Amino acid sequence: MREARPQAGAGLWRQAGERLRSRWAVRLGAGALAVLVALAVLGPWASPWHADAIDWQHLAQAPGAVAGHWFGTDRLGRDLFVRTLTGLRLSLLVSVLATLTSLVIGVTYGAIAGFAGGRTDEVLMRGVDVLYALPYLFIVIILTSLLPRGSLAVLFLALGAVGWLTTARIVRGQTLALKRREFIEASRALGVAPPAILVRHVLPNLIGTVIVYATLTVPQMILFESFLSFLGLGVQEPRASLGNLIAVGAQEMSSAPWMLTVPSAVLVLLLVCLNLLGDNLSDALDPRGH
Amino acid sequence: MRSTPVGTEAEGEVLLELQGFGVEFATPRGTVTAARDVSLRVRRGECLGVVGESGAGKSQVFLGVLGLLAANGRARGQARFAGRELLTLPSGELDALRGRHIGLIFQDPMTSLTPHLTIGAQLMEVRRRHLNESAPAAAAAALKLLRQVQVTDPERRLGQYPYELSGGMRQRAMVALALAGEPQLLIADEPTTALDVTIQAQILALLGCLKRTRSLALVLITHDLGAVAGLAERICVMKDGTLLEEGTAQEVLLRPRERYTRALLAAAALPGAAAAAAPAVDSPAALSVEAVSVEFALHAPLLGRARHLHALSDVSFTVRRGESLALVGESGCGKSTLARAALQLLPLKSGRVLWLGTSLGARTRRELRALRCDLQIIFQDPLASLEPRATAGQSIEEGLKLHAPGLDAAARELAVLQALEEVGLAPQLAARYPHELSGGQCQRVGIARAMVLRPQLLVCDEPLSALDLSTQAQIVALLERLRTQRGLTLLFISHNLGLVRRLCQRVLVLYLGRMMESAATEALFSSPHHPYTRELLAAIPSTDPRVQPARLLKVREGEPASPLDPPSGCVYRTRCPHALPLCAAQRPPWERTGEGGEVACHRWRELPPWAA
Repeated sequence: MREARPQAGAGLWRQAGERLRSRWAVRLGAGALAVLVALAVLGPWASPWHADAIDWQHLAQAPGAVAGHWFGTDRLGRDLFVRTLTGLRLSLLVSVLATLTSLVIGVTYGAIAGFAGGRTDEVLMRGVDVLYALPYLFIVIILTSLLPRGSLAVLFLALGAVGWLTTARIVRGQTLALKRREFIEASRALGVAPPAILVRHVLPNLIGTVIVYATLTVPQMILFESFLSFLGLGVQEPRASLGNLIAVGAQEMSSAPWMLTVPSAVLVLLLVCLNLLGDNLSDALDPRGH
Repeated sequence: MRSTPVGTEAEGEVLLELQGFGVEFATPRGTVTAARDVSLRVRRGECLGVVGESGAGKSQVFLGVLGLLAANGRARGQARFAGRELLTLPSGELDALRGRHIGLIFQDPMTSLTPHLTIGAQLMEVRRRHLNESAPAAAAAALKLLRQVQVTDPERRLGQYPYELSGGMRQRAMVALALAGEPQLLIADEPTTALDVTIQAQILALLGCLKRTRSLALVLITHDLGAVAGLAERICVMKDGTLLEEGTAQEVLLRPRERYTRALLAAAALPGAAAAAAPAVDSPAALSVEAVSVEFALHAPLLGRARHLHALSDVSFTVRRGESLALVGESGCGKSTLARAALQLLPLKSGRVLWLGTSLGARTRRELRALRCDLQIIFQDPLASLEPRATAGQSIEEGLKLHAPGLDAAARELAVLQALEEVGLAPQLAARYPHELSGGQCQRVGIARAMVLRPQLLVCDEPLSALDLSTQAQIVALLERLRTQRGLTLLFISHNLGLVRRLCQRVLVLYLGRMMESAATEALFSSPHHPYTRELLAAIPSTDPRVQPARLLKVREGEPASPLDPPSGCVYRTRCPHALPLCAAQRPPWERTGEGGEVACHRWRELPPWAA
């Protein structure tokens, strides 16, 4: 007797949870991520230093235990441990919020396009094609020139505006496939109105795909945020994000290498954790993989 | 390793012998035994039918023999093929044996043929791998194989991909692939279950022919006693993992020892007369379909116009209240499209559907949604038609929330429990998710979901094809009870004519989206007028081993024409043995026959009388 195949549904979540917990990569990734998040939230308080405080006695201090500068200081004498962790906090916040924004817009847009089908679908998706064709860096530059420089609103808008396009495409494809499933036809035969079908039967069945996609989008957003901040379009001094810390560190690479390696190491660690989780989540939620 | 025993008996040498064979699976909840203590023999030139319902372990036994069990499976006992013990054979040698000496045919040829390789490439791969043939020799052999399995136009098929072939041609290609290694033993696991009766008869006839010409040993695994009756010399009946009964086809089919075998035979037999009581002739028309046509536009190519698939063309019928009408025909004939068109689940190109005298198409969407309470449908695939994220209880409840907003949660729960009881499900199953239910249980949930609304019309789209015979019988009884007690009107779609005869008072035969014949069930079965109806009736397998082999010899070749490009005049003429030039020139009129039936055939008056 072959085992019953796992299907989508609450049972699927239970099974996916079990499969996830049984993998060492997931435990490692989730554990390290929890530590990073806890550090980002609580870490700065553990240090005697404030993110903007300048220690005139220790400018460009190498890492060590000197005066509580565990990761050293930058050229202005600011504590790098605190700045890296506040930067991590900001990067996480921006990327999670931007991912949520792009999911809300993308899922709504894609689900409507896929579910309505026909001409509506054509018009909506050609719109996405046009937006895809615009070089996103130009959009970001235009946005920064329209809004006050360095505001986080610009960053959200820029990240969200780019992120939702792919989400919309993925969700539309999934919706098209779902729409042809017999249980959707069954609810039409029951007399359920189309908007209710979309909300009650289509969206819940998209959750698996969307969650997996989101875990893979967060690291992309962090990278993108870092990239924009690196170019000077994102988070501005004196505020720290992983991106602008790395940008500053890159200029001091030869004289003070820790200013580059500390924030870079944290970024790499974060990205590895998130990607580990995302990959395993997509495996665990895919019934065909088992 | 033992030497090959010499075949001393007249019947032919024993090729495969199982002794005390069993299959077990290690699961988190302990060991599950799929089969135990199975002993059987297959001789050269002989067909062994292995019959049982799903879960009987019949497939697992032969997967175990071939070393193809799932990773957590284990086979025990002895399995000797041509004197070699298979269970202790290294996996490399077993691989060499499979495909070369033992051929396999699976249920669904679409999933067991490699989609991205042409038929020719797949056949040649086997020849080159197992017989070390050169490419030209393998190509020649592939062509010869396709000829042997009677594929039409074999030269062209070599270069085609599986998706380009019809279901019947695909299964023939699968048979050719199984034969490509020149095996001595062929194991066919439900080879005809996914096919129409007409194509099923063709494939069975082909297997019988191959068995004789190649003196193959053939194992035919099936749930359908009708499928083995024409082919098998010996039959084993399996139930719950054990071998219940074994004997010659004559013994098992005509003088079964076990009660279970008798029950299977009774379920498979074509009932003699319709048991269904007809409603009074003067009961009012419930559903009228008037000159309905449905077309599907295919995706337009870059240049040129979109092509249209004529799914239904000018179909009309009326079902009276409390009556059950069957829609029959091969797959692709438009039965399911008609069911959906009748419920306004897809747009009509022309024509109209009347429910209790008023047109459904003229209603607003809101009115139509409210009406759906009265018009319900049961779908073919029980698992696919249930929301995977809802429990059985939630699925049944959904319609009540819409159509009976006055009910509170407690009243709804009571109604759900009643509906479950009505379809014979335990109340605790309400909390289960579809994937935690068996196919039969899912289908009953689907029926409960429809019945809880107390509809007046129930459309059943092949509601039983996914179910075992015993479950089928229970659901037929349930539908019949609902019809007689509640005056439910049934539109019953099926390719299983035996079920139709048991359940329906009238039958409408469709072919390529057109009406071929309509008649009262008994009249249709006793004196079918249309040649297509006759072909369908002739293809119904009999479980009588004295009759069935002779019937298989008379099987007619041919498959449905393409609905994209239907033949002119009478659409059936390309398959019809009685076709005249007139049939190509003119569409036959829809004429009344003597017995109150109607038929669309130019020549129905001239046809010889029907002898079953």
